[in-house]
Amino acid sequence: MSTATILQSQMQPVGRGVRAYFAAVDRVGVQPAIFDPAQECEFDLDAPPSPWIDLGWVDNFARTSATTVNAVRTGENGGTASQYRAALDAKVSCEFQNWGKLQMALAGGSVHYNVLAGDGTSPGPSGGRAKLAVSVLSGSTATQLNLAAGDLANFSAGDLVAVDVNYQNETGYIGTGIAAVYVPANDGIVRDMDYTRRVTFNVGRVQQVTSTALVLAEALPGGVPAVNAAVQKVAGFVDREGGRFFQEWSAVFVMPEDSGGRIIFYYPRLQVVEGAAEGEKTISAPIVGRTLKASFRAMPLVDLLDGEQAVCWRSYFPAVTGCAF
Amino acid sequence: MQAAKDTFFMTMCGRLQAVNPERTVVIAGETRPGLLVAENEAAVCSQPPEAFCIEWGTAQPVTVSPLVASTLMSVDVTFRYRTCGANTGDCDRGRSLTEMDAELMGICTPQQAAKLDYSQATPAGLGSKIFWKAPQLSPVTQTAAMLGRSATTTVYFYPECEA
Repeated sequence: MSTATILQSQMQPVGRGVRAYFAAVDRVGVQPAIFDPAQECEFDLDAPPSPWIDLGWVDNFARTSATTVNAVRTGENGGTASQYRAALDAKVSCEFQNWGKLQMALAGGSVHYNVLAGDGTSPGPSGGRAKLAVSVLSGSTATQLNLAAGDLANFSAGDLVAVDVNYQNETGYIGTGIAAVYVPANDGIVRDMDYTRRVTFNVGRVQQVTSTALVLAEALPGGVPAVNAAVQKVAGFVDREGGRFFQEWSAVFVMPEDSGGRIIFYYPRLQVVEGAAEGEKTISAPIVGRTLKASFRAMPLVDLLDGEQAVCWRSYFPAVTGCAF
Repeated sequence: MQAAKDTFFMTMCGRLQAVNPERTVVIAGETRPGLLVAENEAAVCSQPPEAFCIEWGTAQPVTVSPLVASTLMSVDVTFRYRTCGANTGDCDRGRSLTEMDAELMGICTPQQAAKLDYSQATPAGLGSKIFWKAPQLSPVTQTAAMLGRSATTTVYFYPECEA
């Protein structure tokens, strides 16, 4: 016989803050990253399962349903006979406390540029002509970039680097592992050979320079560098107000529990719905933390369980000692 | 409330041993982690140097529930600590106090723990957690020989009784 403690107090979720995790959508196949609550309900919030990327704590998390519920009315008095949902739509907004490549890309919502370290010529608002890239050698991984000995001297621990292939007039979605931009066919624009590295999400911070390689502090989100990839230093990031491209990512928002159960929101497909904006979080006046405001439209996914279309899945994982009702 | 207090103390002790195993205090010939509860240590100096001393303060209900066991409670906690420095006060008392500040912040993270009943030989889970706010550090106090400060936080818990 076994006996469990069951407590009504554990039915109330109590906690602080919301954490955000994003994963790339396969734009070619229109396949979002799947969050399976059956497998990942109690994942370590500091070490999320692949492919989810921890974007840290967010403020002012808010969901807004814009789905309309209409009534079918019958009879002389127009009484409601039944209801149906129409115009499935929802938005979600938050403010990222942390600034980084992905946070900026999500909040800006359009093409997000890596500012490649320049050679001082051809100035441009998204970064001018870049210093020459150096080739990544075979055997490299998502955390280790093998370089020729002579090329290693160009890098130092602490450098931010972008790793991807040379641009050779490809069209469609560009970027190793993660679609960073869509290049239309025959658009008449001449892009330089660094273009893919300007937009790629394969960006990392060099933690160590060994005699043969750059060791990155975190794995490249797009995975192992492609054959013929090259690496360049990144000075910073740029996003723009404008542009035709929309970022699309899958998202998981977690309300961690201090007491009671855990609440998780899964959005399979999010696209930005407002332009870039910043917020402030007062630390101690006049000192403020700068936040990245982000507002998304939730795009639908068909749940193969029953064929229904939905834009958000809310999961609740009760505390093991909580009552069911 | 006693289980919440016991859990907080035992959690802090365990974490202190991990953060700095060398921070110990000798009480009645017994070497223990450098963390005391003032109300439990009547026979010793209430605040030995180089150790943390916990003082329990005001307790009150935070939410109202018709069930006592579902009433969220809070209790204030004050950590007091002081140091003579490694060189008997020469030059490094500030550095030594900063180390204790960092240890305190370290042992208070994460800010929650499963509540256990320590009144039995083998601590038993009580089915809920205690959780607390980040400690607030007060200004430094200084005497001729020692540098110290206090830090306060609030621990939240559900009372230990049947639902």
